[in-house]
Amino acid sequence: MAAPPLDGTQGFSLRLYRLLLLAYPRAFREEYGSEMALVFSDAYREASERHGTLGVVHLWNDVFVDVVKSACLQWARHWRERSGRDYALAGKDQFAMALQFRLDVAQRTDVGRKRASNEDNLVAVVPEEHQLLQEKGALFVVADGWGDHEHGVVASELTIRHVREAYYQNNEDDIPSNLRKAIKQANETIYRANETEHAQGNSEFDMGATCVAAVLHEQMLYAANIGDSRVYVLHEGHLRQVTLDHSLVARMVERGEITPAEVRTHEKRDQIYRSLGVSEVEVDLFTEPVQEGDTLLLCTDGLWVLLEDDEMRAIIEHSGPEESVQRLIARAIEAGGPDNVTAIVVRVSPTQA
Amino acid sequence: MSNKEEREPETLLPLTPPVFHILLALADGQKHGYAIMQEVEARTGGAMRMGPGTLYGSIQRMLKDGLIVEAEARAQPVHGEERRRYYRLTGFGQRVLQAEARRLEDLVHLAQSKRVLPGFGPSGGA
Repeated sequence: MAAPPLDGTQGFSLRLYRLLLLAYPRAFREEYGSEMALVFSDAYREASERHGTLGVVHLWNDVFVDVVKSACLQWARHWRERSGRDYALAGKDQFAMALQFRLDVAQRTDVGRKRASNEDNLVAVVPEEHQLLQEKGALFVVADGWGDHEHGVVASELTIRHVREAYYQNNEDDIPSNLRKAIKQANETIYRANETEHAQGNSEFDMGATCVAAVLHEQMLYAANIGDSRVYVLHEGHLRQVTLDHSLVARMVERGEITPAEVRTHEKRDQIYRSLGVSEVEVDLFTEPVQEGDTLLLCTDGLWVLLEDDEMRAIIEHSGPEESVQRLIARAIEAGGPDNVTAIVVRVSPTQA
Repeated sequence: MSNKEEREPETLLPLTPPVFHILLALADGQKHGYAIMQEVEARTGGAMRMGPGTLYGSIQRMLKDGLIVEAEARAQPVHGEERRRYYRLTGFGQRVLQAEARRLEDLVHLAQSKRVLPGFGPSGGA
Protein backbone atom coordinates (compact mmCIF):
# COMPACT_ATOMS: atom_id res chain seq x y z
CA MET A 1 0.00 0.00 0.00
CA ALA A 2 1.19 3.51 -0.81
CA ALA A 3 1.34 6.09 1.95
CA PRO A 4 -2.09 7.62 2.68
CA PRO A 5 -2.77 10.85 0.77
CA LEU A 6 -3.24 12.84 3.97
CA ASP A 7 0.39 12.38 4.93
CA GLY A 8 1.16 16.10 5.00
CA THR A 9 -1.80 16.95 7.21
CA GLN A 10 -1.02 14.01 9.42
CA GLY A 11 2.53 15.17 9.89
CA PHE A 12 1.31 18.63 10.80
CA SER A 13 -1.25 17.23 13.26
CA LEU A 14 1.35 15.06 14.91
CA ARG A 15 3.71 18.02 15.32
CA LEU A 16 0.87 20.02 16.84
CA TYR A 17 0.04 17.19 19.24
CA ARG A 18 3.68 16.93 20.31
CA LEU A 19 3.56 20.66 21.07
CA LEU A 20 0.43 20.15 23.17
CA LEU A 21 2.29 17.53 25.18
CA LEU A 22 4.26 20.44 26.64
CA ALA A 23 1.15 21.10 28.72
CA TYR A 24 2.01 18.06 30.88
CA PRO A 25 4.55 17.97 33.71
CA ARG A 26 7.97 16.97 32.39
CA ALA A 27 8.26 13.68 34.26
CA PHE A 28 4.94 12.46 32.84
CA ARG A 29 5.80 13.68 29.36
CA GLU A 30 9.14 11.94 29.39
CA GLU A 31 7.61 8.69 30.60
CA TYR A 32 4.55 8.55 28.36
CA GLY A 33 4.89 11.32 25.75
CA SER A 34 6.17 9.16 22.91
CA GLU A 35 3.55 6.46 23.59
CA MET A 36 0.84 9.12 23.60
CA ALA A 37 2.09 10.53 20.29
CA LEU A 38 2.05 7.01 18.86
CA VAL A 39 -1.52 6.47 20.01
CA PHE A 40 -2.46 9.85 18.60
CA SER A 41 -1.10 9.02 15.15
CA ASP A 42 -2.90 5.66 15.17
CA ALA A 43 -6.14 7.38 16.09
CA TYR A 44 -5.51 10.05 13.47
CA ARG A 45 -4.90 7.51 10.73
CA GLU A 46 -8.04 5.60 11.58
CA ALA A 47 -10.21 8.72 11.88
CA SER A 48 -9.11 10.12 8.55
CA GLU A 49 -9.34 6.79 6.71
CA ARG A 50 -12.79 6.01 8.01
CA HIS A 51 -14.42 9.42 8.22
CA GLY A 52 -12.22 11.81 6.25
CA THR A 53 -11.90 15.44 7.29
CA LEU A 54 -14.91 15.25 9.56
CA GLY A 55 -13.31 12.38 11.46
CA VAL A 56 -10.17 14.43 11.94
CA VAL A 57 -12.18 17.40 13.22
CA HIS A 58 -13.93 15.15 15.76
CA LEU A 59 -10.64 13.64 16.80
CA TRP A 60 -9.09 17.03 17.46
CA ASN A 61 -12.14 18.01 19.42
CA ASP A 62 -11.78 14.98 21.69
CA VAL A 63 -8.03 15.37 21.93
CA PHE A 64 -8.19 18.99 23.06
CA VAL A 65 -10.63 18.13 25.83
CA ASP A 66 -8.46 15.17 26.79
CA VAL A 67 -5.27 17.26 26.95
CA VAL A 68 -6.86 19.94 29.11
CA LYS A 69 -8.47 17.48 31.52
CA SER A 70 -5.63 15.05 31.90
CA ALA A 71 -2.92 17.75 32.02
CA CYS A 72 -4.75 19.44 34.91
CA LEU A 73 -4.93 16.10 36.70
CA GLN A 74 -1.23 15.43 36.14
CA TRP A 75 -0.27 18.85 37.48
CA ALA A 76 -2.43 18.28 40.54
CA ARG A 77 -0.58 14.99 41.13
CA HIS A 78 2.73 16.66 40.44
CA TRP A 79 2.20 19.35 43.06
CA ARG A 80 0.99 16.88 45.63
CA GLU A 81 4.12 14.82 45.08
CA ARG A 82 6.25 17.91 45.47
CA SER A 83 4.57 18.86 48.72
CA GLY A 84 7.13 16.64 50.38
CA ARG A 85 5.00 13.62 51.19
CA ASP A 86 5.78 10.10 50.23
CA TYR A 87 3.67 9.13 47.25
CA ALA A 88 4.34 5.42 47.66
CA LEU A 89 2.58 5.09 51.01
CA ALA A 90 -0.24 2.61 50.96
CA GLY A 91 -3.86 2.64 52.09
CA LYS A 92 -4.89 5.10 54.75
CA ASP A 93 -1.82 7.26 54.36
CA GLN A 94 -2.61 7.92 50.73
CA PHE A 95 -6.03 9.08 51.58
CA ALA A 96 -4.71 11.24 54.37
CA MET A 97 -2.57 12.96 51.82
CA ALA A 98 -5.32 13.61 49.32
CA LEU A 99 -7.65 14.92 51.98
CA GLN A 100 -4.83 16.66 53.78
CA PHE A 101 -5.90 15.04 57.03
CA ARG A 102 -6.95 11.75 58.54
CA LEU A 103 -10.56 10.70 59.03
CA ASP A 104 -11.75 8.46 61.86
CA VAL A 105 -15.18 7.17 60.94
CA ALA A 106 -17.78 5.29 62.98
CA GLN A 107 -21.34 4.48 61.98
CA ARG A 108 -24.29 2.73 63.56
CA THR A 109 -28.00 2.24 63.02
CA ASP A 110 -30.61 0.62 65.25
CA VAL A 111 -34.25 -0.35 64.76
CA GLY A 112 -35.19 1.19 68.14
CA ARG A 113 -37.84 -0.18 70.49
CA LYS A 114 -41.12 0.45 68.71
CA ARG A 115 -40.64 -0.21 65.02
CA ALA A 116 -40.84 -3.61 63.35
CA SER A 117 -38.14 -2.88 60.80
CA ASN A 118 -35.26 -0.50 60.32
CA GLU A 119 -36.09 1.89 57.51
CA ASP A 120 -32.95 3.94 58.13
CA ASN A 121 -29.82 3.24 56.15
CA LEU A 122 -26.33 4.63 55.91
CA VAL A 123 -23.05 4.38 54.06
CA ALA A 124 -19.55 5.76 54.59
CA VAL A 125 -17.08 5.64 51.69
CA VAL A 126 -13.42 6.59 51.91
CA PRO A 127 -12.07 5.35 48.55
CA GLU A 128 -8.69 3.72 48.73
CA GLU A 129 -8.08 4.22 45.06
CA HIS A 130 -5.94 7.28 45.13
CA GLN A 131 -7.19 8.96 41.98
CA LEU A 132 -10.80 8.56 42.98
CA LEU A 133 -10.14 9.97 46.40
CA GLN A 134 -8.32 12.95 44.95
CA GLU A 135 -11.10 13.67 42.54
CA LYS A 136 -14.15 12.91 44.65
CA GLY A 137 -13.18 12.83 48.34
CA ALA A 138 -14.95 10.82 51.06
CA LEU A 139 -18.74 10.41 51.04
CA PHE A 140 -21.16 9.85 53.92
CA VAL A 141 -24.89 9.30 53.43
CA VAL A 142 -27.82 8.78 55.81
CA ALA A 143 -31.38 8.09 54.66
CA ASP A 144 -34.69 7.53 56.44
CA GLY A 145 -37.25 5.71 54.31
CA TRP A 146 -40.98 5.09 54.48
CA GLY A 147 -43.61 3.09 52.63
CA ASP A 148 -46.11 0.32 53.25
CA HIS A 149 -45.08 -3.31 53.65
CA GLU A 150 -41.46 -2.61 54.46
CA HIS A 151 -40.96 -0.49 51.37
CA GLY A 152 -39.31 2.14 53.55
CA VAL A 153 -36.42 -0.32 53.80
CA VAL A 154 -36.29 -0.51 50.02
CA ALA A 155 -36.48 3.28 49.60
CA SER A 156 -33.62 4.04 51.99
CA GLU A 157 -31.48 1.27 50.56
CA LEU A 158 -32.05 2.50 47.01
CA THR A 159 -31.14 5.98 48.22
CA ILE A 160 -27.79 5.18 49.76
CA ARG A 161 -26.79 2.73 47.03
CA HIS A 162 -27.66 5.08 44.21
CA VAL A 163 -26.12 8.16 45.78
CA ARG A 164 -22.92 6.24 46.40
CA GLU A 165 -22.76 4.69 42.95
CA ALA A 166 -23.78 7.80 41.07
CA TYR A 167 -21.54 10.13 43.04
CA TYR A 168 -18.40 8.18 42.22
CA GLN A 169 -19.42 7.52 38.61
CA ASN A 170 -20.62 11.00 37.67
CA ASN A 171 -18.28 13.22 35.73
CA GLU A 172 -19.62 16.69 36.34
CA ASP A 173 -17.13 19.52 36.68
CA ASP A 174 -17.29 19.99 40.42
CA ILE A 175 -18.20 18.22 43.63
CA PRO A 176 -21.45 20.09 44.35
CA SER A 177 -22.76 19.29 40.84
CA ASN A 178 -21.78 15.64 41.20
CA LEU A 179 -23.44 15.37 44.57
CA ARG A 180 -26.60 17.14 43.48
CA LYS A 181 -26.85 14.97 40.38
CA ALA A 182 -26.30 11.77 42.38
CA ILE A 183 -29.18 12.61 44.70
CA LYS A 184 -31.41 13.49 41.79
CA GLN A 185 -30.57 10.13 40.22
CA ALA A 186 -31.54 8.34 43.43
CA ASN A 187 -34.77 10.31 43.45
CA GLU A 188 -35.47 9.34 39.85
CA THR A 189 -35.04 5.64 40.65
CA ILE A 190 -37.47 5.71 43.55
CA TYR A 191 -39.90 7.83 41.56
CA ARG A 192 -39.83 5.34 38.70
CA ALA A 193 -40.42 2.45 41.09
CA ASN A 194 -43.47 4.33 42.44
CA GLU A 195 -44.71 5.02 38.93
CA THR A 196 -44.28 1.37 37.94
CA GLU A 197 -46.46 0.32 40.86
CA HIS A 198 -49.08 2.90 39.93
CA ALA A 199 -49.10 1.68 36.32
CA GLN A 200 -49.74 -1.83 37.60
CA GLY A 201 -52.88 -0.64 39.34
CA ASN A 202 -51.38 -0.24 42.80
CA SER A 203 -52.51 3.37 43.00
CA GLU A 204 -51.91 3.72 46.74
CA PHE A 205 -48.28 2.70 46.51
CA ASP A 206 -45.92 5.34 47.84
CA MET A 207 -42.40 5.01 49.12
CA GLY A 208 -39.85 7.71 49.75
CA ALA A 209 -36.87 8.71 51.83
CA THR A 210 -35.02 11.60 53.36
CA CYS A 211 -31.36 11.95 52.50
CA VAL A 212 -28.40 13.85 53.84
CA ALA A 213 -25.06 13.39 52.12
CA ALA A 214 -21.73 14.91 53.11
CA VAL A 215 -18.53 14.99 51.07
CA LEU A 216 -15.16 15.84 52.60
CA HIS A 217 -12.66 16.95 49.99
CA GLU A 218 -9.56 19.08 50.45
CA GLN A 219 -10.57 20.80 53.67
CA MET A 220 -14.09 21.49 52.46
CA LEU A 221 -17.38 20.03 53.55
CA TYR A 222 -20.21 19.78 51.03
CA ALA A 223 -23.51 18.80 52.59
CA ALA A 224 -26.68 18.08 50.62
CA ASN A 225 -30.10 17.70 52.14
CA ILE A 226 -33.62 16.51 51.37
CA GLY A 227 -36.02 16.20 54.30
CA ASP A 228 -35.23 16.22 58.02
CA SER A 229 -32.12 14.12 58.52
CA ARG A 230 -29.26 16.37 59.53
CA VAL A 231 -25.55 17.18 59.26
CA TYR A 232 -23.91 18.85 62.26
CA VAL A 233 -20.35 20.10 62.71
CA LEU A 234 -18.62 20.26 66.07
CA HIS A 235 -16.05 23.07 65.87
CA GLU A 236 -14.08 24.26 68.89
CA GLY A 237 -16.67 23.00 71.35
CA HIS A 238 -19.71 24.33 69.48
CA LEU A 239 -22.18 22.00 67.76
CA ARG A 240 -23.84 23.62 64.76
CA GLN A 241 -26.55 22.29 62.48
CA VAL A 242 -25.26 22.66 58.89
CA THR A 243 -28.32 21.51 56.93
CA LEU A 244 -31.79 23.00 57.21
CA ASP A 245 -34.81 20.71 57.55
CA HIS A 246 -37.58 20.67 54.97
CA SER A 247 -40.26 20.33 57.59
CA LEU A 248 -43.36 22.18 58.62
CA VAL A 249 -41.93 22.87 62.07
CA ALA A 250 -38.68 24.27 60.60
CA ARG A 251 -40.81 26.74 58.64
CA MET A 252 -42.69 27.65 61.79
CA VAL A 253 -39.37 28.40 63.50
CA GLU A 254 -38.37 30.57 60.54
CA ARG A 255 -41.61 32.52 60.86
CA GLY A 256 -41.04 32.91 64.58
CA GLU A 257 -44.15 30.92 65.49
CA ILE A 258 -42.31 28.41 67.67
CA THR A 259 -38.83 28.22 69.21
CA PRO A 260 -36.17 25.80 67.92
CA ALA A 261 -36.51 23.80 71.15
CA GLU A 262 -40.25 23.31 70.55
CA VAL A 263 -39.53 21.57 67.26
CA ARG A 264 -38.69 18.33 69.05
CA THR A 265 -42.08 18.00 70.75
CA HIS A 266 -44.47 19.65 68.29
CA GLU A 267 -47.40 17.47 67.21
CA LYS A 268 -46.71 18.10 63.53
CA ARG A 269 -43.00 17.43 63.97
CA ASP A 270 -42.71 14.70 61.36
CA GLN A 271 -44.44 16.49 58.50
CA ILE A 272 -41.84 17.11 55.81
CA TYR A 273 -42.44 18.84 52.52
CA ARG A 274 -39.44 17.59 50.57
CA SER A 275 -38.30 13.99 50.06
CA LEU A 276 -36.99 11.53 47.50
CA GLY A 277 -39.44 9.58 45.34
CA VAL A 278 -41.10 12.49 43.54
CA SER A 279 -41.01 13.62 39.90
CA GLU A 280 -38.65 16.53 40.49
CA VAL A 281 -36.60 17.32 43.56
CA GLU A 282 -34.60 20.36 44.54
CA VAL A 283 -31.41 19.62 46.48
CA ASP A 284 -30.12 22.15 49.03
CA LEU A 285 -26.35 22.37 49.27
CA PHE A 286 -24.23 23.76 52.06
CA THR A 287 -20.50 24.35 51.64
CA GLU A 288 -18.02 25.27 54.32
CA PRO A 289 -14.37 24.80 55.29
CA VAL A 290 -13.43 22.15 57.85
CA GLN A 291 -10.36 22.09 60.06
CA GLU A 292 -8.36 19.58 61.98
CA GLY A 293 -10.15 18.78 65.19
CA ASP A 294 -13.63 19.27 63.71
CA THR A 295 -16.15 16.45 64.01
CA LEU A 296 -18.98 15.70 61.63
CA LEU A 297 -22.27 14.13 62.71
CA LEU A 298 -24.88 12.81 60.26
CA CYS A 299 -28.10 11.51 61.79
CA THR A 300 -31.76 10.77 61.21
CA ASP A 301 -34.57 12.36 63.19
CA GLY A 302 -34.66 9.24 65.37
CA LEU A 303 -31.61 10.73 67.07
CA TRP A 304 -31.93 14.49 67.08
CA VAL A 305 -35.57 14.52 68.19
CA LEU A 306 -34.64 12.71 71.40
CA LEU A 307 -31.33 14.36 72.26
CA GLU A 308 -30.85 18.06 72.86
CA ASP A 309 -28.01 19.62 70.87
CA ASP A 310 -26.07 20.07 74.08
CA GLU A 311 -26.29 16.40 74.94
CA MET A 312 -25.10 15.37 71.46
CA ARG A 313 -22.27 17.89 71.73
CA ALA A 314 -21.13 16.56 75.11
CA ILE A 315 -21.01 12.98 73.81
CA ILE A 316 -19.16 13.78 70.60
CA GLU A 317 -16.75 16.18 72.22
CA HIS A 318 -15.64 13.80 74.94
CA SER A 319 -15.53 10.42 73.17
CA GLY A 320 -13.92 9.06 70.04
CA PRO A 321 -16.12 8.32 67.00
CA GLU A 322 -16.77 4.66 67.83
CA GLU A 323 -17.74 5.36 71.40
CA SER A 324 -19.72 8.42 70.28
CA VAL A 325 -22.02 6.51 67.94
CA GLN A 326 -22.55 3.81 70.56
CA ARG A 327 -23.45 6.34 73.23
CA LEU A 328 -25.65 8.43 70.93
CA ILE A 329 -27.70 5.41 69.86
CA ALA A 330 -27.83 4.04 73.41
CA ARG A 331 -29.18 7.37 74.65
CA ALA A 332 -31.90 7.44 71.98
CA ILE A 333 -32.99 3.92 72.92
CA GLU A 334 -32.92 4.75 76.62
CA ALA A 335 -35.17 7.71 75.86
CA GLY A 336 -37.78 5.30 74.50
CA GLY A 337 -36.41 4.50 71.04
CA PRO A 338 -39.70 5.31 69.31
CA ASP A 339 -38.09 5.51 65.86
CA ASN A 340 -35.19 3.95 63.97
CA VAL A 341 -32.01 5.73 64.90
CA THR A 342 -28.85 6.27 62.85
CA ALA A 343 -25.59 8.17 63.28
CA ILE A 344 -22.28 8.58 61.47
CA VAL A 345 -19.47 10.38 63.30
CA VAL A 346 -16.35 11.50 61.43
CA ARG A 347 -13.41 13.03 63.24
CA VAL A 348 -10.97 15.12 61.22
CA SER A 349 -7.46 14.62 62.64
CA PRO A 350 -3.96 15.73 61.72
CA THR A 351 -2.26 13.47 59.18
CA GLN A 352 0.67 12.15 61.21
CA ALA A 353 -0.01 9.09 63.34
CA MET B 1 4.62 -3.06 55.56
CA SER B 2 1.76 -4.40 53.58
CA ASN B 3 2.49 -6.14 50.34
CA LYS B 4 0.42 -5.16 47.31
CA GLU B 5 -0.48 -8.78 46.66
CA GLU B 6 -1.92 -9.13 50.15
CA ARG B 7 -4.24 -6.18 49.85
CA GLU B 8 -7.96 -6.83 49.72
CA PRO B 9 -9.26 -6.06 46.20
CA GLU B 10 -12.33 -4.44 47.76
CA THR B 11 -10.23 -1.61 49.14
CA LEU B 12 -9.86 -0.19 45.63
CA LEU B 13 -13.58 -0.20 44.81
CA PRO B 14 -15.46 1.42 43.24
CA LEU B 15 -13.14 1.84 40.25
CA THR B 16 -13.25 4.88 37.98
CA PRO B 17 -14.80 4.11 34.56
CA PRO B 18 -11.46 4.37 32.67
CA VAL B 19 -9.71 2.02 35.11
CA PHE B 20 -12.52 -0.53 34.96
CA HIS B 21 -12.57 -0.49 31.15
CA ILE B 22 -8.79 -0.76 30.84
CA LEU B 23 -8.81 -3.77 33.18
CA LEU B 24 -11.57 -5.35 31.08
CA ALA B 25 -9.68 -4.71 27.86
CA LEU B 26 -6.64 -6.48 29.31
CA ALA B 27 -8.66 -9.41 30.69
CA ASP B 28 -8.06 -11.54 27.59
CA GLY B 29 -4.40 -10.78 27.14
CA GLN B 30 -1.75 -8.10 26.91
CA LYS B 31 -2.35 -5.08 24.72
CA HIS B 32 -0.67 -1.81 23.78
CA GLY B 33 -2.22 1.60 24.39
CA TYR B 34 -4.02 2.09 21.11
CA ALA B 35 -5.43 -1.45 21.15
CA ILE B 36 -6.86 -0.76 24.62
CA MET B 37 -8.43 2.46 23.40
CA GLN B 38 -9.97 0.76 20.37
CA GLU B 39 -11.37 -2.13 22.34
CA VAL B 40 -12.93 0.11 24.98
CA GLU B 41 -14.52 2.32 22.36
CA ALA B 42 -15.83 -0.63 20.35
CA ARG B 43 -17.15 -2.54 23.34
CA THR B 44 -19.03 0.47 24.73
CA GLY B 45 -20.45 1.35 21.32
CA GLY B 46 -18.47 4.58 21.33
CA ALA B 47 -19.90 5.74 24.66
CA MET B 48 -16.54 5.55 26.41
CA ARG B 49 -13.87 7.35 24.41
CA MET B 50 -10.56 7.88 26.14
CA GLY B 51 -7.95 10.26 24.82
CA PRO B 52 -4.24 9.47 25.10
CA GLY B 53 -3.86 11.66 28.21
CA THR B 54 -6.66 9.95 30.12
CA LEU B 55 -5.40 6.55 28.97
CA TYR B 56 -1.81 7.01 30.11
CA GLY B 57 -2.83 8.93 33.24
CA SER B 58 -4.88 5.87 34.24
CA ILE B 59 -2.13 3.47 33.20
CA GLN B 60 0.37 5.36 35.36
CA ARG B 61 -1.98 5.11 38.34
CA MET B 62 -2.69 1.42 37.71
CA LEU B 63 1.02 0.60 37.49
CA LYS B 64 1.53 2.28 40.86
CA ASP B 65 -1.42 0.43 42.37
CA GLY B 66 -0.04 -2.88 41.11
CA LEU B 67 -3.08 -3.63 38.91
CA ILE B 68 -1.06 -3.97 35.71
CA VAL B 69 2.58 -4.36 34.66
CA GLU B 70 4.42 -3.65 31.48
CA ALA B 71 4.68 -6.89 29.50
CA GLU B 72 7.75 -8.05 27.66
CA ALA B 73 7.35 -6.84 24.08
CA ARG B 74 6.19 -9.82 22.08
CA ALA B 75 5.99 -8.37 18.60
CA GLN B 76 8.82 -7.12 16.45
CA PRO B 77 8.33 -3.47 15.57
CA VAL B 78 6.56 -3.12 12.22
CA HIS B 79 8.83 -1.68 9.51
CA GLY B 80 10.90 0.64 11.62
CA GLU B 81 8.10 1.85 13.89
CA GLU B 82 8.97 2.63 17.46
CA ARG B 83 8.59 -0.29 19.84
CA ARG B 84 5.23 -0.13 21.60
CA ARG B 85 4.70 -0.82 25.26
CA TYR B 86 2.35 -3.67 26.08
CA TYR B 87 0.53 -4.00 29.38
CA ARG B 88 -0.96 -6.99 31.12
CA LEU B 89 -3.02 -7.66 34.27
CA THR B 90 -1.34 -8.74 37.49
CA GLY B 91 -2.95 -11.33 39.76
CA PHE B 92 -4.05 -8.49 41.99
CA GLY B 93 -5.49 -6.62 38.99
CA GLN B 94 -7.47 -9.70 38.06
CA ARG B 95 -8.87 -10.00 41.57
CA VAL B 96 -9.80 -6.31 41.63
CA LEU B 97 -11.55 -6.67 38.27
CA GLN B 98 -13.49 -9.68 39.55
CA ALA B 99 -14.45 -7.87 42.74
CA GLU B 100 -15.68 -4.86 40.78
CA ALA B 101 -17.65 -7.06 38.37
CA ARG B 102 -19.22 -8.86 41.32
CA ARG B 103 -20.13 -5.56 42.92
CA LEU B 104 -21.84 -4.41 39.71
CA GLU B 105 -23.61 -7.74 39.40
CA ASP B 106 -24.99 -7.35 42.94
CA LEU B 107 -26.28 -3.93 41.99
CA VAL B 108 -27.99 -5.23 38.87
CA HIS B 109 -29.61 -7.98 40.92
CA LEU B 110 -30.77 -5.43 43.42
CA ALA B 111 -32.24 -3.26 40.67
CA GLN B 112 -34.02 -6.32 39.25
CA SER B 113 -35.37 -7.40 42.59
CA LYS B 114 -36.75 -3.89 43.06
CA ARG B 115 -38.18 -4.07 39.55
CA VAL B 116 -36.15 -1.08 38.41
CA LEU B 117 -34.68 -3.25 35.66
CA PRO B 118 -36.48 -6.12 33.95
CA GLY B 119 -34.99 -9.45 34.97
CA PHE B 120 -33.42 -11.68 32.36
CA GLY B 121 -33.93 -15.18 33.65
CA PRO B 122 -33.15 -18.36 31.69
CA SER B 123 -36.51 -18.21 29.88
CA GLY B 124 -35.99 -14.63 28.77
CA GLY B 125 -33.98 -15.40 25.65
CA ALA B 126 -31.70 -12.87 24.08
